[in-house]
Amino acid sequence: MAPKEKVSLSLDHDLVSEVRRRVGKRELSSFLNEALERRLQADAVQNYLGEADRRLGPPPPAVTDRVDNAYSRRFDRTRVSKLRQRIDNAFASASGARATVEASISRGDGVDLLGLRERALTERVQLESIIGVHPRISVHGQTVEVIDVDPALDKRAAS
Amino acid sequence: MNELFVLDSGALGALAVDDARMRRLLANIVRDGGFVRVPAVVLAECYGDPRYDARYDRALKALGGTERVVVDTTAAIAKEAGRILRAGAMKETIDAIVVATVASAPMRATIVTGDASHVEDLVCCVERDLGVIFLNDLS
Repeated sequence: MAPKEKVSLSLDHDLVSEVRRRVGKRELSSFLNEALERRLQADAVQNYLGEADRRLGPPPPAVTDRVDNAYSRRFDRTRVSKLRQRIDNAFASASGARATVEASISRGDGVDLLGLRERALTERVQLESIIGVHPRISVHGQTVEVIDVDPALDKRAAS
Repeated sequence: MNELFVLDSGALGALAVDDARMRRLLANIVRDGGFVRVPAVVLAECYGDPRYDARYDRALKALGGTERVVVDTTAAIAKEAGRILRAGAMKETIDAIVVATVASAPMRATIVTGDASHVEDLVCCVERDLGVIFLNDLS
């Protein structure tokens, strides 16, 4: 842990009140410490980026497009991977899962997990579109539970 | 935005050679108020060859300096890494520590990696949703 130093600061009353409301009186120092750390890092990164742009030129548009897209969708792929794995595990490890799901579908209150699984293995993009209305899929041992079913999902999965 | 971005060795290595993907990514992170950290164990993968050590020094300096950007592996992180490894039946300990560092963050958190296969499998073993950016997909 870095050594600490006591300092006397003059800060806007409103700001200090807001921070104390959020983090409590005792956490004010760590909040400010963290804010200073982040500001120093942001300044260092900005300096580096400016220097690199001067030396190498800015990143080409093709790169910026790809990076911006991945950046804006950085949480999508994990959700897709986890759902794919979860569905796959359900069918790999639970011998009763298929019957349970088929019964659920026949009752009209379940999603087409078989279809989802197939797409999970073959079509990432298609599955991502399904994720947008992703119901809660819960796997407990030999049982697959589907909660909060969206009726539109069956139609999309079956189409 | 209060979001942590953790770099693995592939990401730090890309920054060390001024990779355009990392430059753009850092620009986005700083623009949105995110911040970057590097688990100490990543340095073990990067350092050791005198021909390249200076590059990594420069990369860490670009992020604000070693003391500011490098985070230690706490006992809690190490335990979570063990749980993740076991859950995924995998052996990539350093990758698991990187993922556990991201998973243990109390805020939104994203891993930036050059190793899609291992990290993707490890991330699936974490209960909460983590962001992942795969540099190799952006080539």
